[in-house]
Order: sequence, then structure tokens, then C-alpha cells
Amino acid sequence: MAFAALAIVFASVPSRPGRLERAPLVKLDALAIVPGTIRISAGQLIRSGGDVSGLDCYACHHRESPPEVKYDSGGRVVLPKEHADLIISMRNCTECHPANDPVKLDYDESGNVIVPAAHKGLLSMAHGHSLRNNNCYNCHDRDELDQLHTPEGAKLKFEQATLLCASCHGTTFRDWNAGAHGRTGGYWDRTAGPIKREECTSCHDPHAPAFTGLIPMPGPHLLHPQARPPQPPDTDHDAL
Amino acid sequence: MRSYLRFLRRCAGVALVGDWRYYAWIGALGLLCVVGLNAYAKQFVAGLEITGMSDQVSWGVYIANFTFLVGMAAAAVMLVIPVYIYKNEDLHDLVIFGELLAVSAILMCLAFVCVDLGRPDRFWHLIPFVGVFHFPGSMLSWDVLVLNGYLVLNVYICGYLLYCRYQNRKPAKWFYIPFVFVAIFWAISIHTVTAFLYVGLGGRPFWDSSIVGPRFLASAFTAGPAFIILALQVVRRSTASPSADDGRPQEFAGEPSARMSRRVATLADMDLLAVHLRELASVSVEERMECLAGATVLYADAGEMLLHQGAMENEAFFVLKGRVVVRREEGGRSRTTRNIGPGEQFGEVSAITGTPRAATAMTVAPTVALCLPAESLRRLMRNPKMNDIITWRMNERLMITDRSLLILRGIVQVSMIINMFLLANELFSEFYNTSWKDISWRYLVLGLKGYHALVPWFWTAVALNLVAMAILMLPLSRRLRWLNTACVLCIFGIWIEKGMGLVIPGFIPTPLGEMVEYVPTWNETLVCVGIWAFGLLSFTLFLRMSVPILQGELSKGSET
Amino acid sequence: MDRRSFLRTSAVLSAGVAAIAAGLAPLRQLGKFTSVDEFLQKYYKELTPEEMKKVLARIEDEVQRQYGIRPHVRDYKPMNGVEYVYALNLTRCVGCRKCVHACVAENNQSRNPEIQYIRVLKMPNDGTFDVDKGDQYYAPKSVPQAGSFYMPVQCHQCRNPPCVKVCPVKATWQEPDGITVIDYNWCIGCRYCEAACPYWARRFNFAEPSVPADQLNLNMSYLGNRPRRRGVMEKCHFCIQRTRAGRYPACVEVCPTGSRKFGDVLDPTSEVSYILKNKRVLVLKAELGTLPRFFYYFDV
Repeated sequence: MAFAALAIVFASVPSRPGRLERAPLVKLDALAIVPGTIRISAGQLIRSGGDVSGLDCYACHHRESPPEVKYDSGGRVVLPKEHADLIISMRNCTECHPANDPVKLDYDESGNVIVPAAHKGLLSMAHGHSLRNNNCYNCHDRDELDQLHTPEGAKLKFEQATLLCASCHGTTFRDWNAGAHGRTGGYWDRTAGPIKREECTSCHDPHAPAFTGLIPMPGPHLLHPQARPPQPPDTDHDAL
Repeated sequence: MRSYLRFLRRCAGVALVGDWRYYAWIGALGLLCVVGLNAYAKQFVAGLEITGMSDQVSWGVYIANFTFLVGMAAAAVMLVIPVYIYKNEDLHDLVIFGELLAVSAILMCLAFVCVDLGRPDRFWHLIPFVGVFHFPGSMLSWDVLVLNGYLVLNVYICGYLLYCRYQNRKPAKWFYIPFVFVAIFWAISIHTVTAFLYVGLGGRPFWDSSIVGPRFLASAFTAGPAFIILALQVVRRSTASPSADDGRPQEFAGEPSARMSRRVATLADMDLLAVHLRELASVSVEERMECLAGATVLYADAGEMLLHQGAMENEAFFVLKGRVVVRREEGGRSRTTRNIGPGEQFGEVSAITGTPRAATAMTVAPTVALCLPAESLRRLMRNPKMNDIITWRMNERLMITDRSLLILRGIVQVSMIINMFLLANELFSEFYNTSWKDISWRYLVLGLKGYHALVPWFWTAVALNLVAMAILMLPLSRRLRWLNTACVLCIFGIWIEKGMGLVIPGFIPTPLGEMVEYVPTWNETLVCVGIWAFGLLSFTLFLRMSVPILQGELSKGSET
Repeated sequence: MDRRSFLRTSAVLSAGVAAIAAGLAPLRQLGKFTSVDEFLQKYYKELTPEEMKKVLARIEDEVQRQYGIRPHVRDYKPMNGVEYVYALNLTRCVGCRKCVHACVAENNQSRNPEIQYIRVLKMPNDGTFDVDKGDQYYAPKSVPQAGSFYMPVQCHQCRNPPCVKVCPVKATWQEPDGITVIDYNWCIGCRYCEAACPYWARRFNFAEPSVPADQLNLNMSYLGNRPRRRGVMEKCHFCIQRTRAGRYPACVEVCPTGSRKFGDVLDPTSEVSYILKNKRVLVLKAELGTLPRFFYYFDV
């Protein structure tokens, strides 16, 4: 009985589902997706009870002689390198750098922080095109160094910097007020809890407000990697 | 009820008996079924990841085969239209084969859907009133209804007609004619509903076109009858045996005995006939006397030849006692067309139409038969009840004539022409103007952004269909060899066109423009092979059971 | 039947049965596929509160058995008089994909095979919103890249959802607060909804999902982020376990540029009401009539 023989032969066929080929697991830095801002604003610093010694201007400066604005060879304002510590410490490095690879600050002999080449822009004045804000005292108050002033002459404390931004960036401020600009977190239902809004300077460095680029997180992976040959990045998709 | 169970048991018994080729065929199919079952078991454990499907191409060969087979199931009932609407008698018996094919095809469709489900154990969620059945909103719920309804309909019609044939009873018109007409309408609707599964998706522009439904039907009505043409020839061949050299069927070889005797018929013989032929009771004694003019009674032993195929005689015979087998010889092979017991007639075709004997009749038991000259038979048939029963019995022969195959050829021919015309319409509409709206067509026909896996499949299908169409349009396809070639080309061409050319490109590119191709895995292919084997196996078993019933060999009269 | 044919028939039958049994051998590795309770579980909308409590407890048991920690699974009901709308600022999105991965972490999506509800498309800035021009696999050193804008796409929770229309068992439906949800214990896995969605927003579990136990988000909801099994659909549900408790979805909170906005459009003081009233908004594939609740807007 050939049929019976065939059946018995088949009964001994191995029956384990084989190992399935899958795309490799991607190791992700969990902290990269924790909601945080790349910067800490003066208001946040003060509210959080952190070290505000850097904001005490008259610890180094004299009231009667406000510091002169220095210019580089291109005629641009240069941020004083003595302020490098303060500027950098108000940056939240873990927003871009992984927490398991902490950034070490390097200092030179005079105790000033050495800004790494990748962050050179941090110490240059880059607020506005065409050298529009080429004067520190456009925002900082000459007479009261620990305050800011609006174009109309109103005095503002550091933690009120948002109003200063608003005096030029009115439309953005209008949107920010309504919630359409800037980060939101917390509770959309105010009866359930507070909303968490960020001030301007929590995200934007007032001296170089434009965002630098971010390292993108990994892209998607296919269920069956062999179904689509890997494409070179930035292929020309217009040529259909 | 008990007799129905006996009928089923005898059907099952005959299905398991056959020659070595039958066993080999059933065995091979059974083996493939088990292979498919094993592959599905692996899929059940591992999940659908073991197939080539992904979120980008989320339906694959399972649904492609399902779509093709729904078309086959719908087209199988195409045969019903010529028979019942145009009263074409050539195809009469073949209707049952068409419906059995529909049953097998629907079983395959249900199997393909089940293996495609992520949670087949939750099928009960689909049952109306037990689960939650989203009718009439979801086209898939419509499909579930119409497919299962079609299955029940065809099983009922086939079962009823076969059982009546088994009991040698004329089926009651009201028990099947309305259902047959419903089946015609239902057949068109199952495939239209399946088309609407695709057409109803606005987010997939490849399918969102009104031509998809007509294309479905045209391709289905090409592939279905083509398959039936091939299947009928297989039935014809396998139920036949080679003829002996002298033109007589082999089993009938041997000298006809000269020990037949005749005597004049009397009213008593008519009364004896009336015992087995109830309709005769409505014939009055005077009419019976008139019909007895020239009538004789024939006594024959077993193995005697009573009719010769091709002879110019026109007597009609009614069996009073014993059993007669009628065999027809065609193309060097002969097969049984009828198996006649008491009360039934043979030889009436020549008596009514005057044509030469269509077949040879031989006794298989000691037989007594009432012989009526043609004039007497015609007189007898003036009685409406007699006319009914004699005409019905006359048509209940298993004749797979070449003419019936040619009628099917006509259906395939016209459907293929329509199918190619609709495809030409699609190609013009997609490629004449330069809008990029429907770039799935571009992917299918020309390739897109460097992806071209389906392009050779598409052009192969077009080539197969065009060659098949050409053959069908030429008179040379009247010859069976060419017709069979065209049918095979049709089936493969339409299978590729419907499966790869219609289901898969709808997913490439995705609605977000991503290009991901689809390749079925080995496991997936084995599951498909297993289900196809299961379908062919069930169709084979159905045929194996129904052919003897239609030939009259498996009947109540032959119960021991 | 004589002895010979009886023996032959029984030999054939037993060979056949043996072959079938051998063929089904892989099922031995099935493991815990489903429990009787899960198999018989009623449709979500038909569960009484007591039955729902039992179901939630059973799910917590299942998760504890699988991951070793006991989560908290709740059935959050929609708030009255609330309709959620999402707005995304295409001027500000830089394509960093933090939203994608925050969503994965918050909603316990499978890491391998990978499921991500959000797809970010890098579009060329040449006047087209044709998604076929988009690139989803960009991986430069720094984003944003010049000459491109970035368009994340996720479930739009359409007001006229094609996915809801096609589900044969109503396993997916739209809740009164606008979220289109899926009952993972009712879905049969036919994937018709995945074919129907014009935004490619729905995902299917082709394999048993794998989530590292230490990354499991234990604050779960029945219709939201509880771990799914293979063979069922899932998709973005606006972080239903957060939003129905009044919080922002994870993607909104993590976006570093503040491009994502979410809120109750029926509240005239919400930021989304402001955006819909004052900004130039557009929807994807508007011609399909899906009426999404997901609007793209620009800064002016």
C-alpha cells in the first residue's frame, strides 16, 4: 500500500517552525524621549532654587562702569568668554547627549571653560540676521546689569524675559499665549491638573535662539528586511 | 431518513473504490493536504510573521487565491443559465458538475480566509446574534453571508437532485427550480460582493474604480468554464473504458446469444409495467389497447445485446423485470450512460426522433422487456403524465458530448474577449494621460522607483491570455486538443492576473508612498498547495460519487 | 466487508490519521494560546461593569505572568462633552522622531518585530503634499535638512472612518470623544481595516510582540496600551490612558520643538480651537472625505 508507506514516511518529517529572520533590535537611549528642554531659563533656575550665583552681575562688575561691548574682526558682537560657564550651564546637555555618556567640561588655565568646536556658536552672538542685534545693550540694561529693558525703556527682571521677546516677536508671543507655539506638557484638562508651558528662554538661547540640528532617532525597520533593498539616503524621489 | 443515510453510506463506499490511478491521485492529494496542514500548524504557532505579508502588503497569496476561487465558484453556476433559461438539454447533467465544482471552490475559499485570519479561534465573533455581525456596513460581512449561503444553496440543490436521481424519482419542481434561479442570481452576487470588498476602499486608488467589478466577472467566467471543460473531459475519460476492436464496448465482447425470445404483448404486461411505472395508471384501458398494436414482450438472459449503437431501428423498450445497461461509444472509448431497472425505458430516443441508435444496450440480468413500435410510443406519450416522465427519463443520461464542450467554449471565448477589452480600457485610462494618481498601475506594468517584481508576472499573464484568446477565436479550437491548450492558458493567465495583478499591486506603494514588495514564503506556499489539494480532493470525491448516480449505476434499485 | 478489505481499509485509515497527527505536531509548541475566559469574552460594549472588572483583573494576571510585574489596567471612560483634535505645526517639525519612540515606550509597542504608530515623512519642499514623494527612511547626521519639511503621520481618528466601516465584527469603533479604538480581545485579525485606512495608520501583530519587561509602562488601559497578543490590530489611540485622565499624549509632551498640539476642540479656550480658528490648516487626502481630526498647520 504505497499510500500507507507515503503517510508513514511523512510522519517522520521534522515539524519545528524555523527561526525567523528579523531586523536587529535597535538600542535606544531611553532618556532621549523623556520630555525635557534643551535649556533652563533664568526663571526656571530661580524657581528651582538652583545655583543663581552666575546671575549676580555685580559680583564681578561695578555699577558705575558697565562693561564695553567687544567686536570681532567681522564687526560682530563677541560674547565675553568669562560668561562661557554661565551660558553653558544653562544648557541641558542630556537633551542632546546621552545620559550614559556625560559631557565633561574642559577648562583652560584661567578657569574658563573651553567650548568644543561643535558648539562654537554658543558663544557668538547670533540673534537676528544682518547684525540686527549687534549690541548687548539692546536687551541688557546698562545701568542695571541684572535687569533687561524693552525698546520702549521698560525694565524687566531676568525671569520676565518672555515679555522682552514679545516686544519684537509679537506674533509668536500671541501664538505662545494661546498655546500654539512652544512645548506643552502636563494636563490639557485644567480641572484635572496643571498645564506645563515653557518660557521662551527654556528652549531658545537668547544669544543664539535658532535651533541647531538634532540627531534624528532611528528610522523604521521592515518586518521582512529582504522585501526592500536598502536605499541610499536622500535618493532622488522625484524621478519616478 | 434511514434510506437517506443508506444513500450517504453507499456514496461514501463508492468514493473509496477505484483503480490504481484513482488511488494514486487521491493519495497524492491527501499527502499534499497533510503537508499543507503541517505548514498551517507552523503558522498557527509562529503567527502570520511566517508568511511574506507585512503591514505594508497586508494581504497576500491567501486572499489572492480566495479572490480567484470565488470567481470559479460563481462561474461554475454559469452552466445553469443555458440549461434553465435557454433550455439547452446538452448541458443538463453537467449542471450538477458545475455546482459540485462550486461547492469545492467555496470550501477552498473558506479555507483560504481561515488561514489568513490572525485569530481564527475567534471566528464565532462573526456569527450573527452570537457575535457582532457588522451587516450591512462591512462588505466583508456581506461576503461571509453570500459565500456561506451559496455553499448551502449548492449543497442543497446538488444533494436534492442527486438523491432524486438515486431514487429514480422526478425531482419536484418547487423544491429546486426556484433555488436554481436564486443560485444564478447568487452566483453573480458572490463575485460582485467580493469585488466590492476592494472597490469600497477609497484609500486605495488602484481598486477604487468601477471597472473592477466587471473585470472580476469577466475573468471568472473565463476561468470557470475553462476548468469545467477540462474537468468534464477527465470525467469522460475516467468513466470510460477502451472499446473492443469490433467497435463494441469491451465488456460486451462476446457473441450475442440467440436465446432471446419474443411474444405478443397483452394488457397484463401493461398492468405489470404499471406496477413500476406509476404514471401509466393515468392511461385508460382503451388507450393501452391502442398502444399494444405491434407491441411485443422480449425475454433475454444476462449478457444479451438488445440495441446496437448506430443501428437504424426505432423500437422503444420498457423493462418489466431485470436490468439493462446502456453504453455509448465515442472516440474509441465507451462509457455507461444509463443503468435501467423495471419501469424505465430505453431506445426511446430513436423512436421519438428517428435518429440511429445513440448507444448499445445490454442486459446484466435475466430481463423481460416490453417493446413498443415508434407509433405506439408516440400514442402513449399523448398522455401528458407519460410524456413528462418519458421525456424526463430521456434526458437523464450522462452524456458529456463534444457539443456541450463547444457550448462552454463559446462562453470562455466571449468572456475572454470581454476580459481583455476591459484590461485594454484600464491600460489606456492609466497610461494615456500623465497624471500620477494611480501609480500602482505603473508599478505593475512598468516598475516603479526601481521596484519591478510584478512586471514579468503581469506581462506573462497578458501573453497567456492573448494567446488563449487567439486560439479560442480561431476555428481550430473546436478541436479538443487546441481547446484544452487554450483552457489551460486561460486558467493560468487569469490566476496570475487576478492574484498578482489585482490583489498585490493595491498595496504597493502604501497609502503613505512607501515601496515594499511581497514575496510569499515557502510555508505560505505550502499552505496554499494544501488547500488547493483539499479542494481538488473534495471535487474528485464529489465526482466519484455523483457520476455513478447520474449513470444510474448507483440507485435505489441497485441496493442489495 | 471481507477481512482483507477490512484490514486494508483500516490500514489506510490509520496511516492517514497518523499522517495528520504528525502534520499537526508543531502545535505542541503552541504554549498558552488563549484561556477559556478570553475565548468566551463578550464584546466590549456588552460587558457589564462587574464583568469588566473581572476582565481587567484577568488581564493584569496575564501581564504579570508574562512580564513578572503587575500593571494597573483601567477602563477609562470618555469624558462628557469632549472631542479631541490634534494639530501639528509643519513649520516647526524637525523630523527628530522623538515622538515615534516616546509613543513606543508609552504604549508598550512591540520592539521586535517593530511596531511604530507614527511615521515621519521627509517631504521635498517643492510645493507638493503628494506622499509618494516622501522618504520615511531618512537617516542623516542632523535634522532638519535643507530643502525638506517633515510630516509625521499617525491615526487621524477620522470623523468618517473607513476602518470602522469595514470591520466585519465591529472590533473597531469610534468613541464619543472622537478616538477610534480597538477591542484587542474581539479583533479576528482579518486586516480589512489595514487595507481600508488611507493613511496607513493601523498595525497588525504578525508575531507575538516582545516588550522588554523593564520598559513596560504599567499605567495601562483596556482600550489603549495594554500588551496585545499576536493576530490582532493596533494603532494610535491618542494615548487614551493619558488623555482620558486629562493629560497630554506622550508624543505631544516629548516634541522638542513644540510642533504637536492636542486638546478639546469643544473648548473655545483650548490651543487647538485657537489653531483651527486662526491658522492655515490642512488635512491629508481631504478628497477622500474621511474628515480627519488631525490638522497640519503653519506658523502664520
